[in-house]
Amino acid sequence: MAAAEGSDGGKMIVLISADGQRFELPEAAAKLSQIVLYMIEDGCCYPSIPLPKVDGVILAKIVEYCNKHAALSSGADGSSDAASERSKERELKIFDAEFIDVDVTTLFDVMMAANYLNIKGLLDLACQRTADLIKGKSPEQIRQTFGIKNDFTPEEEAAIRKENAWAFDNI
Amino acid sequence: MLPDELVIENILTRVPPAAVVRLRAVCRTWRSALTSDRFVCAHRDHSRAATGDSQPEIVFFAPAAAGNAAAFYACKLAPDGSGAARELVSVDNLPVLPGGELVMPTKPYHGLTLLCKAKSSVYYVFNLSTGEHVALPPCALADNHSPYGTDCVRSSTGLGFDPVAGEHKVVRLYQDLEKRPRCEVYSLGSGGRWRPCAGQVPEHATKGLEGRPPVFVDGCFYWHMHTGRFSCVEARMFRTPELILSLSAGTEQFGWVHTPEELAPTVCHIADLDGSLCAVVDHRLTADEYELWTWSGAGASSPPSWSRRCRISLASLGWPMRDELGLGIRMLPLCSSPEGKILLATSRHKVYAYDAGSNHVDRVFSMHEFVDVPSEPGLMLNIGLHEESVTGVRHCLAGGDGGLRMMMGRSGTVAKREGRPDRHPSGFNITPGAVRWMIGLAMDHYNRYMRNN
Repeated sequence: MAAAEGSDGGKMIVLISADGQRFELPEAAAKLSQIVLYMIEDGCCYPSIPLPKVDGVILAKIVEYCNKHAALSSGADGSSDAASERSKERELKIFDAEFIDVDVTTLFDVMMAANYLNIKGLLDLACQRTADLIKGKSPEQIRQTFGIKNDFTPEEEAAIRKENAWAFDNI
Repeated sequence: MLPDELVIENILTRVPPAAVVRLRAVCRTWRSALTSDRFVCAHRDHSRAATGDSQPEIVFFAPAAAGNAAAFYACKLAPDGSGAARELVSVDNLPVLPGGELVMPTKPYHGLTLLCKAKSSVYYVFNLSTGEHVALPPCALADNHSPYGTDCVRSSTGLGFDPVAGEHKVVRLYQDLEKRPRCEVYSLGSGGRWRPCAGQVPEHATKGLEGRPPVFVDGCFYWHMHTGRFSCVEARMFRTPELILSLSAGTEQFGWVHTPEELAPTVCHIADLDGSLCAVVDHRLTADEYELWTWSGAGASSPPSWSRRCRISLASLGWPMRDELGLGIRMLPLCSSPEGKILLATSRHKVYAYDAGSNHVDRVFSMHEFVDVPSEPGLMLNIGLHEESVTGVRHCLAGGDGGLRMMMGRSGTVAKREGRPDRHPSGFNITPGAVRWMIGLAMDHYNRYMRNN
């Protein structure tokens, strides 16, 4: 298919998820991904960009994020006074907080996709959310969250807990 | 599952230091990654970038509710004094006795702070962000005999870093019970015991020690030969080639720092100001002013030299700042603020931002807004710079924990207390003017005595 044009006359990019779903988004939004940006620059974005590592549910989230951020990024609508900048920043903050308030599986999938697509803002957002989730957790809860096997012997683990005992209070 | 690299470099670097310690118990891969120098640096870079501002953060300590405990707090300084404080750690059995029993340097090194109970020669290396700490092995007693009954110990101990061996070293300069000068070194990397320093301690180098830590700058420890309380006879007997002694952390050789003749006798303290050795000149009694001089350092291509950084004229500050900065035992510079002002901390538990251009000073921190202030410490300050860091203490050390009972600080900020009186429990509120008057009186008596005899 030929490069489409959006309602506002800007170029549209088509992304295809692993399960074959099509997502159409403005070029400005798609360019938030470094990988997609390179493909656009190299002219290999037509008729569509296949993303075999990202499935449809997650790609829908990613597209939602990119659309919102591209629409609200500075100077997108020509206005640039400080008050509107601040209100846009506030709106993005609220959007980000709601956007990333998801279950751990989705969070990790979004993080992996953001890492693969190289979308820095989204990767930071997902990593910060994960860090906030684990900072109050016990080692056992963290192992469960990340699917990590405990490879310490019981004696070793006891010794580690003992040497920094205060760090395990109330956990 | 997520790749280790993504987890460690992008997620764990965002976890607060106090929680990072707990994460070391998850698995072997995490444990070795989290205690690596690479992670320590990445975590520091990340927290600097994340906070987005370069306002300095200080650490301060005060007796905790139990009386026998010490609580450490961090406070981000704001130019208008609106900085918020948070509790770092509290230690149940580390008393902050009157008279400055607990001694803390004004600057941590790689996030590590050497705390000492000066009179009993007990030392702890602390990471105040994570609460991780060790007690150093017992060391030989230092002489604390003084014919004048002044209660101080002839030792001075500091923490530094040896870039050649790539390890932290604690260096202790002291006078033994037979009054011989000694220097011992404890390597944090290899642990074990205190060992004699490689270099020969210069004669009389330990005569003026009082328990204050040395300054560690640019690979060297510096001690100020504090001769202020020497009698004339002692001053002649214990004369050293220069008034500032240096010791290279790498080669462990001593040296002397030349100070111009007109500067040397007026230096009352040395400090680290933005990575340079700084001499604090106290002219409060004679000229109502302080001066800060900085040293160009031994590494420069030209011969090292001293230059005056600023002259703080107390007389022209106006009330109440004139008295606030002028009173109290001790004032030390911490660092420059992003606005180019010099942050000055006092033993009266306050921090001021001094603008050298306009000779204007603003108070940016007062401990009484957060906690009941302890009495004025005699040796150092209850304030230093804070460095948020996950530098490990224990993984490289075989020391014990010294039986300290630790508690991590509660999360959230420490509420400011409104309307508390700002007073100093044991401070003598004598104004510099009154001191000058008394000195004048004494000089009159002395002159009259000399004329009549």
